[in-house]
Amino acid sequence: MRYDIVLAGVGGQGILTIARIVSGAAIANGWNVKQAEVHGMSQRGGAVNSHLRLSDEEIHSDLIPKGQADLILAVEPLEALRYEPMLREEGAIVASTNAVANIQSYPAIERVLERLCRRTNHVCLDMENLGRAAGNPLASNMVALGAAAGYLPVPADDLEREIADCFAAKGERVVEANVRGFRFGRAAASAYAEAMLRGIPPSAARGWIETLSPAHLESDEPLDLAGVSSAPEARLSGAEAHAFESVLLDAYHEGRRQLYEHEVYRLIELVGAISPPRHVFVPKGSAVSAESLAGFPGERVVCKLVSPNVVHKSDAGAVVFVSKSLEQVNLEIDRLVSRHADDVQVAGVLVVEFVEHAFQGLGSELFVGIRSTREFGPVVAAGLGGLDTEYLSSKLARDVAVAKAPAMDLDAERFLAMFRQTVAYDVLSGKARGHRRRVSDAELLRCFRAFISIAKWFCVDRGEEGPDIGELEVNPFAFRNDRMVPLDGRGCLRTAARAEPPRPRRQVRCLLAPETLAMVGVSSDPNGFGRLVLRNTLKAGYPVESLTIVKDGLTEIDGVRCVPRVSDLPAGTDLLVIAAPASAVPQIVAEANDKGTVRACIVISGGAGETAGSVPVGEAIREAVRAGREGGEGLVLLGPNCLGVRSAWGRYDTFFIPDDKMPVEPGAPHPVALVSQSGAFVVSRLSGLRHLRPLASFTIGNQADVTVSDLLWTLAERDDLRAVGVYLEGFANWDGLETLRAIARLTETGRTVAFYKGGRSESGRSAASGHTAAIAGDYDVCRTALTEAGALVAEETREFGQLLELATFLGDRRVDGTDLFGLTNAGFEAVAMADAEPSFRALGAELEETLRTVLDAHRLGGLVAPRNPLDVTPMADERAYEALLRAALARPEVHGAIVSCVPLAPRLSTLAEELSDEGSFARFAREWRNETAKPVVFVVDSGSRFDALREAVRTAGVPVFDSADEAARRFGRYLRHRSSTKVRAD
Amino acid sequence: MPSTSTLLLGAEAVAFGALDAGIVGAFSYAGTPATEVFETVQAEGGVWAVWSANEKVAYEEALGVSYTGRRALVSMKHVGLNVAADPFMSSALTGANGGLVLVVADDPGMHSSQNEQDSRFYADFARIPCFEPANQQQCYDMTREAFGFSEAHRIPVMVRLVTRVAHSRANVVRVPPEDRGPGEPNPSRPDPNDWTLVPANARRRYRHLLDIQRDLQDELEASPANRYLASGRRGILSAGIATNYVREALAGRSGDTTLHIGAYPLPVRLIREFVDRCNEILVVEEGFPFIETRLLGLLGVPGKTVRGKLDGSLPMDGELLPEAVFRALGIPLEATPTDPMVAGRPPQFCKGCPHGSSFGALVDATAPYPDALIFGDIGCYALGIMPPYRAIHACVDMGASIGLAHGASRAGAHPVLCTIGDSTFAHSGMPALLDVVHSNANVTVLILDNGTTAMTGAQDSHATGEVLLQMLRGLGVTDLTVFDPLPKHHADSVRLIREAIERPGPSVLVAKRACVRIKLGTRATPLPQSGT
Repeated sequence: MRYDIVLAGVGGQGILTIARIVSGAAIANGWNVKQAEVHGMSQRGGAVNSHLRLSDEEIHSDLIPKGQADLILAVEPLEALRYEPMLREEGAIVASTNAVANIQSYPAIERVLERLCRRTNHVCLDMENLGRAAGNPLASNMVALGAAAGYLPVPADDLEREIADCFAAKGERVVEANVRGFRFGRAAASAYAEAMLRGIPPSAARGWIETLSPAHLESDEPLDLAGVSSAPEARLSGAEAHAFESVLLDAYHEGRRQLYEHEVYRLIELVGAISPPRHVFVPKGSAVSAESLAGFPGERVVCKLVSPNVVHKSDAGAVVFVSKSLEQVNLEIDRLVSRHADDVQVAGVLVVEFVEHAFQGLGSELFVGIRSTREFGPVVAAGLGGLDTEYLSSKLARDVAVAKAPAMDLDAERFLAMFRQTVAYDVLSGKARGHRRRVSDAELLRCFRAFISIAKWFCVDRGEEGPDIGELEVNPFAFRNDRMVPLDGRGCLRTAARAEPPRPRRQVRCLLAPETLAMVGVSSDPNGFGRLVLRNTLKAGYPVESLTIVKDGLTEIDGVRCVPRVSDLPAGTDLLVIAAPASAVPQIVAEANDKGTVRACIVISGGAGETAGSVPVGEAIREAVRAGREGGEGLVLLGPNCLGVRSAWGRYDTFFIPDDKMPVEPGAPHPVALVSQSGAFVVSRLSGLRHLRPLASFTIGNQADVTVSDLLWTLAERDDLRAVGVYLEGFANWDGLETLRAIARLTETGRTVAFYKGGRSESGRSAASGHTAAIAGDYDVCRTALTEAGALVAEETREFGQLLELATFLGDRRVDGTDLFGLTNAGFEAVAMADAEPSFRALGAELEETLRTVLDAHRLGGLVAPRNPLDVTPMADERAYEALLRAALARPEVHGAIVSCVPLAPRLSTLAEELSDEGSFARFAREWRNETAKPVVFVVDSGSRFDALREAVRTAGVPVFDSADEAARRFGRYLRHRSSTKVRAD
Repeated sequence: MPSTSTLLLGAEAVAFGALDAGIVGAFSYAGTPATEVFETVQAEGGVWAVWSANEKVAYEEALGVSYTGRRALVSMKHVGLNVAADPFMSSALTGANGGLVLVVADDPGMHSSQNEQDSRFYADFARIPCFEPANQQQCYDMTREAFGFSEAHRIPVMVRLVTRVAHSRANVVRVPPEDRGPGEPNPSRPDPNDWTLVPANARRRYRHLLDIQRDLQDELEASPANRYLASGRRGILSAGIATNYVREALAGRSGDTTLHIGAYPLPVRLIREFVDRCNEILVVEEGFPFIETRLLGLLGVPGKTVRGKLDGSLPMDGELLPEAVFRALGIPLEATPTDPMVAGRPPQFCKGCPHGSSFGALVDATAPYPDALIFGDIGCYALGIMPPYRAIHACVDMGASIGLAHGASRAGAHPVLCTIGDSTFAHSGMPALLDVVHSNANVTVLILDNGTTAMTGAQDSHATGEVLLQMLRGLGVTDLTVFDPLPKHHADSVRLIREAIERPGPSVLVAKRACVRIKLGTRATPLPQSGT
């Protein structure tokens, strides 16, 4: 074994002392050593180095051959970079970040560090600072040695002993400071390495290490990395931040909204994400210099047209591969420019290093992008890269094609977990057959962290701070030595949507249970909408004495007292229902706000912004609300263009549905609430799911003020809710993000949110957009993010109803897993259940035995073999059903059951008139619910003759489905959802 | 003393080899990369080891020891041998009595030198034997062997080092000193006429030198210093340290025929056998193409391809690097190119260095004279060539500044100044100043007296302080000004220099302030008592 080290620094930094100590420890461990040094003139502040070779065999050369060193240990960063050509590909760099800038041409330090940190194996630390912490800034060479100790093939204890020997002559204090420096270096380096493994940017890791106390560094405890900030301000030094901003500003001031490839590289590089290939931008009319071309590795370079009009370069024939001769390259540059100059605006040509990377089949390249969205703020996406990105993404199942998520509440670790579910990860991590691992998780984390940071800080409305980034993406990343190398990048500037200021929660609560209620726009026509609202509210039990109507010229309507004007309303009116025409609303709101008497209002009227003609009215309403908010806690406004609210909490009902078309269902309400943008959607659901009887239903219309998230947050405060159903077509600005937060809160507190998102067709995507919008479209992001937040997202309205029913009626059931037991009297249903859902596991021996006994007891033994799902044949009666179900639910491996009957079997009492029989399913259903905490659903797949059976079982609190396969599919999904959110709720 | 193994620089190993061979004295003038040879002897103590004024003197002192029948070591860098060439060339004729070993350290790549030289040419020139160690152990072994060889053949022997051997450490096994014990004179006494090179004696001695060449060659032909391993038709002939790179590159593969040379005169019979066997020959040596040139003669080797420095397979200049040897052997090494932002970092004046302020004053003092010529000399103050001073117009060899200035002033240049350090002045500046004074030349000499030989690590200076002033007066200098070149005295320093320029005839200024390194406590050891 051989270990070759290049020690580097500036004359006087103590390189030779390091060499002496390592040599001593190595010899003590039986190694052969050779150590070449530099003496003489260079020791006067010049670059000095020492080659230190350790081997268990004879060492021939005193010098390490170029490209063969295992480690560069440098007490100065530029000196580390100077000797990088000595290092082999996988070699490590351990370097101090403390520049000795004793030359005029010292490059920008952050560029030097960035180069060093591109190495997979590197440790860059402020060693002077660590030396100072150890008691002597001159001990920074020992800090460096300590930081490298993990790489050296000699035990750290032996190194410490050598340090003590080496400094013994200088006294105990010097020995102590140097040994401590060594230990601090070791501790800091291992913390640094851990941070790198987690993809934390080097500068953030360093910043965090600087905050550690000596006690921290000396303890053997593993360091807690939770304190590492990933905010770019925390990690962008002043110079980097300035550089970042000036890239954006330069483009902006040129009147350009597209960012060029090299600008994208620069931005991402500045936050520490990538190792761009060597590149140089050659402005139109100039040529590349021999000097600059010589710096490119390899035999070939790539010339790419740089134009604000050409986004998809390879499609436009704007990419050329050229052999690396000055003449050739400049010729191609001229050709490229002249070929395109007539058609598009040409800024110049980007000459890029030709990156040698074998194309290894589909999915061997990666796409990463961010974009600002109106609903969720910035969004990040990653998936299969390359030319086929969009094609592949469209052909693959959505969840495995692209990982995507709103960035604001995201950390890189969470996003990596999502990315792990994708096909791209399977390929890149070598999990897919025939692939080897191309990139480490740490490198992915580093990349994601950078993109997420840029998203959080720059894909948002920054006001006067600077231009906002609309999109930024790299497609594709290739992989070279575990480093992600971008082969193309694009981006654009676009003003991001701004979130509205939050609505005061106290006011929103008034919508749930207003203690005082007023109405305006109640007409004298008894069939008018306003009158309907009034009647329904009175019918819902709202106390007349708390009710006031604003009506000039009348003293009362339907026994409710009237006041002439809004300003005459009693102070502290919780809710004002406005049934007046939209055009009158701004005035009403202004009046209500004027005296500050009204806390919330509902605007039923439409024609307030939904059509082009009514936009001014909509704006006027918003303006009136905004004006009230400015002076203090102005009223909140629900609507316009909605049905308002039906609330059992508040005993009021603004739905203007005639009672005979949708009578209030008898019985106590169930612990479920509905929030819907569409009134019709809600009333359709309520009419169809009569037994659901929600505690409250909200329709939110245009969301001119109160948004879906406001209601969800308010609902999350209620402890009498088990489920919430949401129908939504579009979020208000950034309200998607807030909705996710509210859903996460509801989920954490054990509630289930069923979500149906309407309005999925993508609009506003232009040919000039990048890939991010194409492969992570609005609905995609929404669906994934809702699911991620814990919602059950329904693709169809029927499914929505079923999921909501399950959530409502089974929300109190105990869910320990997803394994189902199926029980039916029809062979086809047993087959259909098993086909629809994989959760019917084979029976365990014990359960099988029990079932056999039960079957025998019911004389079914000869007919039926115990299996799952179990077909009991039409010979089974309700008692057999009951005994079998009880036996199954008693087993811990059974987490839920589907009971299905073909009610036509003669032995069953399933007709309306038989339901009161002793042994009917209706009675059993009540018993199951009481006897067991496990969830059970019921299936009746027969005609309307058996509606009474369905109704009776539902009344017992058991969800009923119309077909066995659908029941299996939905129930399976619900249980999986409950299992996965259980952890969070716990 | 039992055998011991220690991590030693090549230069240190040479010193221990000499000590274990029983030298009574070591002689040297400091010069990288040879300095540590002498310093090690000095640090070990027990023998005479005081820095000499220059290499010529050092060589003569060592030769004097040898004439008494005792062993002496003289060490110097390659350009030092130019200074010592006179006694060196003639000592080949007088021969040695006690073992006399000259260690010369060449500096290929000019890490710390003003030229590249290959001292094997000197050995060949003087017709004396030369050993060329390839590693630190050989430094020790060959130095010891050289003393015996010197005495056996009554001839000075050269040990040729290069920077990379001298300044690289490896484990070296020392063996107990020779039985004859240190300090005991060579029992046989040659005819003193041999040492008196009047023409009659010199002719006889030169004939003798020519006559023993065959013996030297025969003996070294069989020396283990040369190693021949016959194998395939590709042959690799390498010498000294170059063999290490060959072995590194071949990494144990044995398909090639190899011949390693470690001792000169060249083993002609071995080389013939080697050449006969091989079709294609690569000659790898550190320094000049010494062997390659001899192998090819004027007309080459018919029927064989010989590659090396002359055909460009290996670089002619610079230090031989392993990657160059790898490439010549057809083994490419992958390496990333140096990042273009890596700027060079040349050495510079230490913080608070008195030379810095001296040059500051010099630059300001000569500012009114656009034609002023300033001749520099060898030492840290050669850095006066760097920005911001850019104050030196020439820097050639030790002590040259005064002679160059004198010459220029004779050609009519004015004003003409020169800067020289105290140690360099003692080394070879004095005769030149004597000339200046003697001929009353209009030259301003600025002696930068920092009290030490700073650049090589603060060795003793023979001409510093009061001694220097006395020497100057003794040389006949009457226009003598001493000042302290502290930055706070800048205006005074400028005025003094300008006044000296304006005064006709030779003016000598002494800028007197100790090297900051001495202040830091790295003063050289005090003089020992007489060694024998």
